[in-house]
Amino acid sequence: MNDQQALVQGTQYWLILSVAAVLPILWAFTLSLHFARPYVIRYLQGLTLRFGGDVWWLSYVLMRDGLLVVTLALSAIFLFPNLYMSPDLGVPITAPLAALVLFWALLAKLTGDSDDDARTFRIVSVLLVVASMLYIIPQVYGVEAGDQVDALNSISSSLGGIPGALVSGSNPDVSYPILNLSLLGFAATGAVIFAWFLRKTKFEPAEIA
Amino acid sequence: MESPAFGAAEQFIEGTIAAALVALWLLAVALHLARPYMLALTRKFTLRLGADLWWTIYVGMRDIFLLQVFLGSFIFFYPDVVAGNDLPITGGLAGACAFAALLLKLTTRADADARSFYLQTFFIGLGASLYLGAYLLGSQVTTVGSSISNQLASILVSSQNPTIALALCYLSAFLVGIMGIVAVVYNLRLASPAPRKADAGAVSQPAAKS
Repeated sequence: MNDQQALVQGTQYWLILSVAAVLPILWAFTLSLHFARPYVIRYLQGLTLRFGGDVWWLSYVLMRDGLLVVTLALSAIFLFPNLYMSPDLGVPITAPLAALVLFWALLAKLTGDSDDDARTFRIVSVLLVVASMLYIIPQVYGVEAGDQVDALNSISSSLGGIPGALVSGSNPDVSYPILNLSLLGFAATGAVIFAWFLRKTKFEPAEIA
Repeated sequence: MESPAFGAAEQFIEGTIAAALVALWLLAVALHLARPYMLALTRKFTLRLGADLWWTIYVGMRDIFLLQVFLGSFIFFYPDVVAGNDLPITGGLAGACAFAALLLKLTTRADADARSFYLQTFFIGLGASLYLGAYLLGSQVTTVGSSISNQLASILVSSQNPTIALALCYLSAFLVGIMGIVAVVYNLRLASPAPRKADAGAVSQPAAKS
């Protein structure tokens, strides 16, 4: 590998690992906004004007749902086999599953009304919590704890294996099936969304524009 | 992957977040304590729309800044980052205090309940003190070179006191995890088929309004 290739690869790895490190923060932001709903509603009820209420609620919904889509878009990098399986990179082992479960949460939002229907809200909430745990736990206690093996071994010899077990590149026997399962799940979920769209939506001419 | 350039870039970002958190904490405290001033100004508006917008923008900014403080504090939950960088040792606990204030906003009538407001003030004040104290007297005195500053740094800087720093890192993550579970359960209870009478209003109103 020449210097130019090494520089490109180093920059690429830095970018990918920066995205991986920022994602727990995005996940926490996503969860915070989703679970802030009762607070936002309580404040909404205190507004005396319809205009102020609409601005407040629409701003909230836009930020909350926009963040969900951005998180999914960034999580898509963990579906790239070269990146996810790379022993040099080391990304959270369950990151593709987290992306898949987030995709299911968006599917539930698309096909139901999580703001009016309590059941859909609960489904979306549980899916978001599961997806965030699938990402945050291996990122914090695997990828970001790689230098703590000796400290963990000093507590108990069985704890030292935890960081390695939670990183994709160092555990290909587990990460490869996870990647394949996630890719299959993504394809199936995408097909369901496509079929739902074709069956449920009715074409309306855009005469207003 | 280990390379000097990668490590330097990572440390630069983490150091920048730690420095930005000082400004974010100051803004969060300032906006929280500015409430009486904002209320006084709101009462002077002659147009209802102006008052509503003023108050909405204030509340939105105040809460988003506090949320940003918590999100920025997430780096203090990463064991390698805490052990390897000159970060304030109590940064994670400060983040947990910000999250506690956010949890209070969620589970109580935040702006209408004096007790909840005082508790939020306590947590925000405690969090800011834990962060600013350790940052200014620890992370920012590592190159001063005096015996007092060296002693302060050996206590307050995470990389120079890794045993306590890692213990606080795991403790903070545990506290935030517990509070996160409380927030999730609170939401799921509100969205249950038969909400408690006191919470019923908060569940059924929004969609109609939107």
